[in-house]
Amino acid sequence: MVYHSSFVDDEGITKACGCPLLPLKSHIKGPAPVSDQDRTDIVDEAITFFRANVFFRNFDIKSSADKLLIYLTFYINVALKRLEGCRTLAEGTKAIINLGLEKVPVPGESGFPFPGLFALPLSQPEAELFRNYLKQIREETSGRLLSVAYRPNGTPNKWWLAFAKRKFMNIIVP
Amino acid sequence: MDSAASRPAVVIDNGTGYTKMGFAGNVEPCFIAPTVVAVNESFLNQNRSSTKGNWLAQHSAGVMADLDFFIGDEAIARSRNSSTYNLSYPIVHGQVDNWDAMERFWQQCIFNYLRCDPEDHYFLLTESPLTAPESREYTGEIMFETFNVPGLYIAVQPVLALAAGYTTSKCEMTGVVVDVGDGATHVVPVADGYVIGSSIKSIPIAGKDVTLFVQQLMRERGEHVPPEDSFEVARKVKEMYCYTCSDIVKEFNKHDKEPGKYIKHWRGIKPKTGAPYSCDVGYERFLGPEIFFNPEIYSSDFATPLPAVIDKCIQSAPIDTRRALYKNIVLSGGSTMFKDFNRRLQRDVKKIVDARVLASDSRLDGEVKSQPVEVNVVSHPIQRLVIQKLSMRNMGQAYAEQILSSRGCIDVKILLGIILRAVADRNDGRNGLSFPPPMCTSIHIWLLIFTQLSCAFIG
Repeated sequence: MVYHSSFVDDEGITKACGCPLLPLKSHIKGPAPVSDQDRTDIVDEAITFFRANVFFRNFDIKSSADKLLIYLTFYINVALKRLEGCRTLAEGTKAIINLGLEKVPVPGESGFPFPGLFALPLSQPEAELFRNYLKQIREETSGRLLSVAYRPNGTPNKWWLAFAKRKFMNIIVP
Repeated sequence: MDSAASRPAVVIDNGTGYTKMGFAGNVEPCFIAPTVVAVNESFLNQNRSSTKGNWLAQHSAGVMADLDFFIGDEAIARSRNSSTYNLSYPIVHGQVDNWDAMERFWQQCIFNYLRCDPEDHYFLLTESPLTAPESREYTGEIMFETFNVPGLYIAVQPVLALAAGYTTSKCEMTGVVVDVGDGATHVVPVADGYVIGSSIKSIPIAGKDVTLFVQQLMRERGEHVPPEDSFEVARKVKEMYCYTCSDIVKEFNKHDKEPGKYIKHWRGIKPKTGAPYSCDVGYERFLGPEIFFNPEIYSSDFATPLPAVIDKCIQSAPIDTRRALYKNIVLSGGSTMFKDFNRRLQRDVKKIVDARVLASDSRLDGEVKSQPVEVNVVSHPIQRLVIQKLSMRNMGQAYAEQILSSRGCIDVKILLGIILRAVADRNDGRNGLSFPPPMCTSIHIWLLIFTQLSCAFIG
């Protein structure tokens, strides 16, 4: 069975598209609330659980934080696929920046990987809020991913990059 | 025929992956060989156009082809070195698929490995549960007609496994046998020595699938293993380094923190060039056996974990046997040899059982307190060879009784032959009887006797 998020209590957190905008330990500016530096946030959880969850094809959702976990696991899979050919940390960083510059779809738009998972945004400002949140969380995830996917001397860590070939929930990465 | 009772019986346990053979009375089997036959195919592909002169050459070539084959480790070595030998696996998913190859396999076992005269020993063979009766008939036919054995007993593997688990004189013959072999996994509940046939569950995940998964993971990581060897290397890696973990994420973290302790190295030699190579073995150490507890990670068409299957199997057994079945879950088969497999299985089954007991208690609002169900998964150091161990030691008495009844079959068989021939002679084949294949179950024999006798008297 899959590993679920521990952020089950979403009282007092703003929601968009049926998903709580959980706090991040991030220095990047964006709509996410700031979290304390010693607690684990959703990005840490996604990276810790990624190597286990990527094997599974069915994910049963226990809380709305799980939806964010699924999205992040998929994003890490996409990022690893981009990092496949990059031999050094510098190349990898460039590839990831390119990935970040691409358009970030929100639920309801074509190109969003999980069509039924999130609720559709009710208004344009809500969609924009969610889009900015996704952009922020993606950048944060990429940064932390690069620090584990590459060894301290800049060479790729094959134990992480092997998972680029895995298909999370059988979705073919475009 | 009495000399057979004084000599030790021959025990052959044919599995999909390995065959264990030896003599009764020993602690361990004499030989453990992979169940594979290498046949020399080159003779069969010769030019079929036959002139008179060629016929003799072809005949002798055919005879040579029949004699020229190897089994077991020798077969694998020969097929690798020369291309004239083709490997064939006679047993697939626990059932015999290719009877011709199986007969040759037994021939080599008896004459080359065990080096005994089959006419002097009783034989104990094993079969998978849920084997068709025809398979038993073919086995009996081969054993009695080709090898002329004096007596034969074909046992069901799980019952032997249960009996082998005990060293005290009183055997606990009620329990669930979880037999995880190379080709098939069966969960068989046995109550008082009788298999509860309707509750047998089998799952399509077995030792070979663990090997394939390990091979897949190593390939995804880009380990430098020569492709023709990758399955064999994966199998050896599985047997040497795999273990069962309690939690995958914690294991990943342990591997990250102390790579030197957890990451092992495999050194091999490339077969074509002879150059040595080495590769790392990491996550597949614990991800391999994990497919029993989370089959989703390996295959998309089967998703029930092994503990859930065991639980479902016990719940489908008669209600008065269930507590005893939970108390005695016996592991057998090579793929249960992973370290801590029994602890993980016990923990998971107990979790399912406790959840159910809790749910039923809460439904009754605490009025009726149910006794907690004790779950015990039994494993002992020789469980890979459990079936052999048993036959070697404890079952002597029961076995002798069974052999005597099959001896009765032999005497009956001769009698039957005489009667049938007499009937045929009298009626000039009017009855249109076909000679029935020799059977090992005495009941069947007696029925036939009665019908033949009645025909003889009426016809």
